[in-house]
Amino acid sequence: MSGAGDPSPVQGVFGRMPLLLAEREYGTAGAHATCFAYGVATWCFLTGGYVAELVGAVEGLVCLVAGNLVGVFLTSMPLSLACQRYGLEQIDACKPAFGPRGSKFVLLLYLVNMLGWSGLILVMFGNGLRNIALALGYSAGAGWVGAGVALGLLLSFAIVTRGVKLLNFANSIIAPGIALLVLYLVYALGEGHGWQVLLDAQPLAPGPSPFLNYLIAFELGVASGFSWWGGIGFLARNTRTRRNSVYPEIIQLGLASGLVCSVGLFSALVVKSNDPTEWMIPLGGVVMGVLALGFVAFANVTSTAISIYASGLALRHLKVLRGAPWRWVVILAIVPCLPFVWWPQELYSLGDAFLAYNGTMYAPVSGICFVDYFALRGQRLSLWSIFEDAPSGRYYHHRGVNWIALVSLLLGQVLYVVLYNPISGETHDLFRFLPASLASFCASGALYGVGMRWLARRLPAAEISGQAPARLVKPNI
Amino acid sequence: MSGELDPDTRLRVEQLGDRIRSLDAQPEEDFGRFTRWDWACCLAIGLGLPLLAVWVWAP
Repeated sequence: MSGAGDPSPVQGVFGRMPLLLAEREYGTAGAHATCFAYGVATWCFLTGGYVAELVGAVEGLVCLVAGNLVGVFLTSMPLSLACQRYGLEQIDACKPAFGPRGSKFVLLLYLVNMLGWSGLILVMFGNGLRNIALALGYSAGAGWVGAGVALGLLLSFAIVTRGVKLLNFANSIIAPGIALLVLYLVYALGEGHGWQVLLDAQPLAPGPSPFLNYLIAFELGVASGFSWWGGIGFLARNTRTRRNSVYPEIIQLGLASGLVCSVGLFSALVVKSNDPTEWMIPLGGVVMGVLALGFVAFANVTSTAISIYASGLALRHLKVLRGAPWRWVVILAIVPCLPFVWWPQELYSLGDAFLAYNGTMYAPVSGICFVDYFALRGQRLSLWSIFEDAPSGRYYHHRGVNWIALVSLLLGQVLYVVLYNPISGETHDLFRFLPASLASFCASGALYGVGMRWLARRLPAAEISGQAPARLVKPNI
Repeated sequence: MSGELDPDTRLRVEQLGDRIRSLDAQPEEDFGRFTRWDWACCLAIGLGLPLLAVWVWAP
């Protein structure tokens, strides 16, 4: 993570500065490698495990790969091109649509996403420790999981506050390690069980309608793709060309990540458990299984540390935290994860609902950003106004909030929940014809576009970034 | 308001201004091209083919 390398308050804020072309790190190979490293993470196994509850191997493979591709495409097109052209990270790129204060709401969604994933991954870490202890003959009760979550939080805190260079080094090992683990899982599935067993494997906890199960599995795949919203700005702003900002994200975060999720799905179907930490020993035997579990536990802690680090940097958008000591910002980012210490399995069991909720959060945001950047602003933004909190800024809207965008966002979320309620699992009849995330994306985007064209007095006509004011009146950097 | 900024913030604002001016002055083609063919390709990979696959394999 750039800027991510130094957690001091000043550097954290400097991490929001628009990146110049000369400062950008990724050419074509670098962009693909970094996106691949992002795309093959342990949460892919979680996603595959959740989808295994609904559908079998072939249908799940289609839903996960197609869903990831669709989600990544819809969320990355406006953000990638905007962040690449202007060197911005994604919360700043949302300001033209939502306003400087309205973008705080998007920031809240971003934090929910990052910290929710952190909690789930930490429970996976706790489960992994418990399963290692059980495999080695120790009697490990359920309390081990909560203790594991607490340990994971402490380790993440130590890494994020003291050893970010260590984190970057660990990440350079983890991506190839996970890729090897995926290949090993595929080998173990083929050699140990045979492909016919996989093809014949039944879903773990399907609903009564196979068609609805299939649609919900696709919805989870799309939501998994939308989950990358938080990482897209960082990746795109570090690329030198527009093509390098788009293709690697679609191919690696969409296709490669969907395939890794599918290996998780296959493992879950064969082992008959959606918990990734229960796959390794049945598939690889005790020695290889414990080694794999140890590696996954290590990867889980570093994934959590990245999420907490990113959340800490995001919290720097709040004025009150811009100059606060980094240690306190990190503690603030960790606090929402604490319930996972006391109720690990209860919250873990809501993971599929949380995964779908990523679609609820990001589908409307992506629809609004899509219409705003391509249809309303003609791919031209004013950097001066993005970093301006005063009413003179072009994106100030009404008291710093674009209510048309916020109302469109909320209506899009409501539409999503009406079509498919991620918590209760209930679906509307229309869901059979209209995937919730696509409907939410289109409805929010259309509402926003129509609202801005016909209702807003400040029509965002031709925004010419080069018309620089003499100075920023109320800079938000 | 910018006249009341503390020295650290003032420095950051100056750096920000330099960066914005530099990015604004950069020719558009330096950021690479994204043509209609790129759009068509991304639409196919990211939307058309996946939705077709989901439709074909639907139970």
